[in-house]
Amino acid sequence: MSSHRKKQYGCDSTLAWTLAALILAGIVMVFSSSAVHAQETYQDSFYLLKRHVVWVLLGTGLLIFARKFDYHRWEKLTLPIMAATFLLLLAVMVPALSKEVGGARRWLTLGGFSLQPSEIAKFTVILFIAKSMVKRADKLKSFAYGYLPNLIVLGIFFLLILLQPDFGTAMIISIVAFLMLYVAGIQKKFLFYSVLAVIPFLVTAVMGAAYRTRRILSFLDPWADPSDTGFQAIQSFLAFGRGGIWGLGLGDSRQKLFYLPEAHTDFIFSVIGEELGIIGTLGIILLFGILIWRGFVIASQAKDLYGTHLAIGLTLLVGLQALTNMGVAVGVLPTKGLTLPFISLGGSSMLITLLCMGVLLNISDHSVRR
Amino acid sequence: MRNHKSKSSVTSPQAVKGRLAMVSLFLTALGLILVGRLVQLQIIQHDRLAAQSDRQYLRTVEITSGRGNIYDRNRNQLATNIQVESVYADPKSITDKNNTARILATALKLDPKTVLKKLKSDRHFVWIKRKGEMNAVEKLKQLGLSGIGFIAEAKRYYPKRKLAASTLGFVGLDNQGLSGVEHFHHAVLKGNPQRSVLEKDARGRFLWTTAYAQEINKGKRDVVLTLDEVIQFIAERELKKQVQEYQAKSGLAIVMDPFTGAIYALASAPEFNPNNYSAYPKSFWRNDAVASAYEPGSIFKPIVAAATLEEGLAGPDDIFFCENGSLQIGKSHIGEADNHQFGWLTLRNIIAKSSNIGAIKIAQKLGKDRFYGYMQKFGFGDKLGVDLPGEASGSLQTLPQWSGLSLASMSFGHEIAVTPIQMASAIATIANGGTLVRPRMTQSILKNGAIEKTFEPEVMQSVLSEETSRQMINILKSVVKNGTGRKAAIPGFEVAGKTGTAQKIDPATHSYSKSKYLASFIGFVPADAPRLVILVMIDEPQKSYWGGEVAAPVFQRIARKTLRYLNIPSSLDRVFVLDRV
Repeated sequence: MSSHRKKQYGCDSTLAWTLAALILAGIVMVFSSSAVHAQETYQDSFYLLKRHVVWVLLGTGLLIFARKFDYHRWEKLTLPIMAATFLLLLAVMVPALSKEVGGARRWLTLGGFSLQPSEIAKFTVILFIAKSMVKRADKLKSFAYGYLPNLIVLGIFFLLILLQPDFGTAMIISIVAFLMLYVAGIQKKFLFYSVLAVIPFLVTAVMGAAYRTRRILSFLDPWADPSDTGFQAIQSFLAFGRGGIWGLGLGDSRQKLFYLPEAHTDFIFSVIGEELGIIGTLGIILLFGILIWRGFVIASQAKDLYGTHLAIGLTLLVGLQALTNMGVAVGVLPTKGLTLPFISLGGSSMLITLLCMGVLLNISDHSVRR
Repeated sequence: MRNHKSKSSVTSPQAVKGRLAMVSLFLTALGLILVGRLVQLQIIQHDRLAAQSDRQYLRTVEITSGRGNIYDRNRNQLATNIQVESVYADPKSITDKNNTARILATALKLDPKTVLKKLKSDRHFVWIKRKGEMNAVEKLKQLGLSGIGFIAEAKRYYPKRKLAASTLGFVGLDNQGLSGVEHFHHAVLKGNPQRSVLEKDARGRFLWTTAYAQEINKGKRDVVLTLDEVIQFIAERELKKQVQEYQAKSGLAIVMDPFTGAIYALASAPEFNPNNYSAYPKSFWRNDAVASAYEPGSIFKPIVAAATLEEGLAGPDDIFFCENGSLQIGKSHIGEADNHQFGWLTLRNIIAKSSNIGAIKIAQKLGKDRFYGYMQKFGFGDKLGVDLPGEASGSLQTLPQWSGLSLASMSFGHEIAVTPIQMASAIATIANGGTLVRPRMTQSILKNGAIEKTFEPEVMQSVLSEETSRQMINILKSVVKNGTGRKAAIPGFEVAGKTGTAQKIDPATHSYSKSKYLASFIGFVPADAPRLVILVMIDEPQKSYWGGEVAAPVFQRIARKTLRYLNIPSSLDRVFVLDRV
């Protein structure tokens, strides 16, 4: 990408086209994977597609807004946003304000509209770490002044999200935060010991929730109990396996006929694998690869350190979430319940993802004018 | 903010970029693992996984549908299919087996233990209830039990219920023809092979079943019978009335066309409903008209007389001495029915008054060898080859087996067993000018609604000359005019016929019973241009046992109503028409 062309478009056009491709793939795949389920549940095969498109439109609005919104203003807004997120995370614990789905309280209900505060928390934590790393640039070597404040804030959000419980989101946020801290220059030994300290805690958490234990066990050997906990993993493998190189053709997935649970959200990658083959899955991986590559380029060309840290955080969030979702689908990671950014049926996660990308594009805008 | 950059080496752009490169490396490694795993799943294990997933959603299931209809000669439906639903389970996807079994058993009125046993099987598909009752299945559907599915199946349905039941027969649960036309024409009616591989979703429901149903209906073949549902109805109603009136054990009636062998009606009483055949005793299912043989008694006498006339051994007005009602043959003593004491009778009157001794005298004129030859020519002792299952051949002893009494006994219809359809065909031979025509029930076979094959009348052999036929018709007219068959007379038509009152062999004593009779009447109408041959047999009537008393009125009513239905003009009609002109 020459600087001449960048000037022409103002922002990173490769990234913009990649996003467009991913969103388009998402719309097609959400329809393909949700039509039967929607017909069954809502007597309207377009029902979930329509919802998805509404979320995509709202998200694109957010993206356009964030793209025009000078990212330095986020730095000033960080504290109020943190306070608001904190309150939302508390509110989600109040039964009157939230809805319980499958034993977890993750959604705030406001009228007919539901909102996932943990999704907002992803963005909030990234804003906080980026700001904090700039502010503490001189004290990074210090445990008490450079590292501990980050750890405390992160810990609070982590615990609040874990209480919902939403283990997957809590993990993603922590990993993104730690990688941001590492890139910013926090001492590796601090990070290493923190991880060591957290391990017993994680083990307890996993053992404490029977379903998490089962998920881990079935991840280690899905074929041990194919009719129950290993079911999802096995059905996902079968979908990929059926797809082969070229796939069965768009719309021709059999596994989506209720064999694959959550075919239009958590396991949409499996449907892609079945309908579009390895051509389709590698294509999606390539698109996310380009996204991460452009994100890191934007980070390294950012006008200032804040832009760098923010760009790294935003790219890592989307990139890691994509890799995790795909890793779960192919069985290299335990089942988490994370969506595939841009592609899974939308909702709060679609809004936040597109907001993140808007901010990233704004950072790229500034880097060009440097 | 820019001034932070150079203050510390860890925050220098180079250091940040270095660590960012490490993170990139980490992400690339994750990506490569992902790619490797996809290659493994989608290329290396492709065949194995695809086969495994096929196993979980492809099911080979026997589906019964597309069986052909059965029509009467005017294309009225006698047997067709209706859509009903069957309930099945995928035991592997049912978690609470006890509860599910209880709900299913209650809803479908099944034994809970049997259902539970089915649900505990380790198969992916078990039938719970085939062709269930509509309301029960509908209620069950609304419960939305997991692992329980429904599949539309074609159930055989007989819209006219009991009408022609023993002729049509019925089918089993998988639409296999078990009796009657259903059995005889099963190969034609069953249609295409019915095993098919179906796709099924994870909730156990089959996909694309409508397309499948259309496929299987291609090449459907229907059977058109010679039966006429109106004549069948008339015959059944009249027969049933008389069987009830006389508290008889059973009864049957045959109406056929003497020239073509086409059977218009085969009635039997008691009847059954083929939609629910298992609720009736098995004996009700049998089609006695073709499957059972009886000692015919006096209705057999015209056959002997016809043979003697044909051989020129006697004329209708030749006289025979009837021994004043008592004849000794060997040690046996033979008398007349109702203790009549006939002296000299013409051949005509022997038939009209149904003299046993007279019949013996006629048979003796004919002699054993010629008698036996005519029995075979008339089609007795062997199957006629009617297109219905289970046809009996009856029993005609070969000449060396005959005793000194055999010829005498056979002359008035004993020591010989004939099926009703054989008897009707033999009388049809007399009626149609002397030709034995093969009786038949099938008119044509339709493929996709168009005629594929037509069955033509089939002449078996010529038995009598036209002259003999005409003489016999006149003799049989006098039976109705002034003999034993007066109750068969129909105003405006000439009727020819013969009564029969056969003593039945008591299985306990192996001798003729004094109380069990087979009352019968066989005849045809209009006598000189016959359109219908009708046989009526009433087995073990109670109040009276005379064929002329019990069976002849049934013949009369069936014949009269059928003639009117077929618009066959009577002599009265002709007078009426002349009046108006």
